Amino acid sequence: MSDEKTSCPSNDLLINVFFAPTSDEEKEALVDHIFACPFCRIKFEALESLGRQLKAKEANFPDEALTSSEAKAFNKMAKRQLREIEKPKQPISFYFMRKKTAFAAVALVVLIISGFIVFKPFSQSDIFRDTPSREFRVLEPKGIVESPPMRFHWTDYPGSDGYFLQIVDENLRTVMTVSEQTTSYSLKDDPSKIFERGKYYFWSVMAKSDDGIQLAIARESFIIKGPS
Amino acid sequence: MNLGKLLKTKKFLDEMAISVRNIIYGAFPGTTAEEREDIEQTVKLKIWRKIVRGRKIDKLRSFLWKIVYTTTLDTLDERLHTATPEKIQERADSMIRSQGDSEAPEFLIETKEMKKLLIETVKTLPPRRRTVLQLWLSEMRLEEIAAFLGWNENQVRHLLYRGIEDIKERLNAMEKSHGAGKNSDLDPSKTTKQ
Repeated sequence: MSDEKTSCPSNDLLINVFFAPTSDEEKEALVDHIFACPFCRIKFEALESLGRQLKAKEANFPDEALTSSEAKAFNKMAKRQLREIEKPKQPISFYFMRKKTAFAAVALVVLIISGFIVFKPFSQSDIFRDTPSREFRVLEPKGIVESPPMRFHWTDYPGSDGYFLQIVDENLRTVMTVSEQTTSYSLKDDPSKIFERGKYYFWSVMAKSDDGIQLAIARESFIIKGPS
Repeated sequence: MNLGKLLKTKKFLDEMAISVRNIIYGAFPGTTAEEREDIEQTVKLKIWRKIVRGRKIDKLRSFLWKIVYTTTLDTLDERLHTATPEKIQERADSMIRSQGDSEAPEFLIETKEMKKLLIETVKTLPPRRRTVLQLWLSEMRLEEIAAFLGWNENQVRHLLYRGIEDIKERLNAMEKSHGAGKNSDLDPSKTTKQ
């Protein structure tokens, strides 16, 4: 088989016997080879089969010459077709890689920006300048105070309808409780009658909604200077 | 070339890519669906590349026909180089006509051995009969053989029948020389009529 293979006619020669006029001797020699060579027999059968199909299409395809502009248009279409067929192969290595890189870069930028927004620490100025703070604090009195306090003061809590003030001593006995609509409460009595010097007091304010639900609570403590 | 003609040509080439794919699939029946798709794509690529690189087109049909033929052979060559010689031989042998049709109803080859013997016997025929018989055994029809050789159809028919008669005589003679009972496949009485 290998000897036959080396003397195989070229593809052009095989095709030409279907096209160009060839002498009987040449055709006979070619057919002898085709019949003996399995490679050429397979090729010949393929050409034959193709020939039948092309013959059936001949009527719809007159063998006309093309003008130069027609040839140009045809060539242009061929180039376009070639580009379209080659396109899907290129993207895997190039086109898609480029798209993927761009997508990854955009995703990274978005991630950094959102991370910055989420984790950026709010400054005091941000709180007061922008939205109302949800932080609720008691302001005065706190720590060591010189004299028994007369006034209790706390911050506003947005959405609250009132506040509940409670003061307990160091033995956790309730000294007083009072409900207040504003953010401060002033004692009606002499504070020195209520608070003793040298003792610790704890006080808390609870912000409540109009239906009595606890919204926030803040606590502080103070001690009045002097002998206990 | 107007748009209609261009589209018609493109449609034709797309169809031919499928035909070529089927022809190759026919030659290598074990081809997977993925490979077939790959073949079709390769064929399309080759066709359009050849058109782009092609020289001046004198006659569109001849030009396209030639491109389709060369693409088919190029693609087949690639496949043939990767196939084992045994597979190729097996495939080529299967292309030998094994059963007669309306043109030669008395012809029937039943076994592989018979086929091999037939191929060898055909080689001993006179050139013209041999050529016609070889083409006929390659499954060409009478009118196709006539067209291929550029001969008259009656002439081809006459050569085919003479060739078949010769073969039968030679096979008979061979069987006689080998003795009765041996190679019963070669018994002309086994070449049944359709």
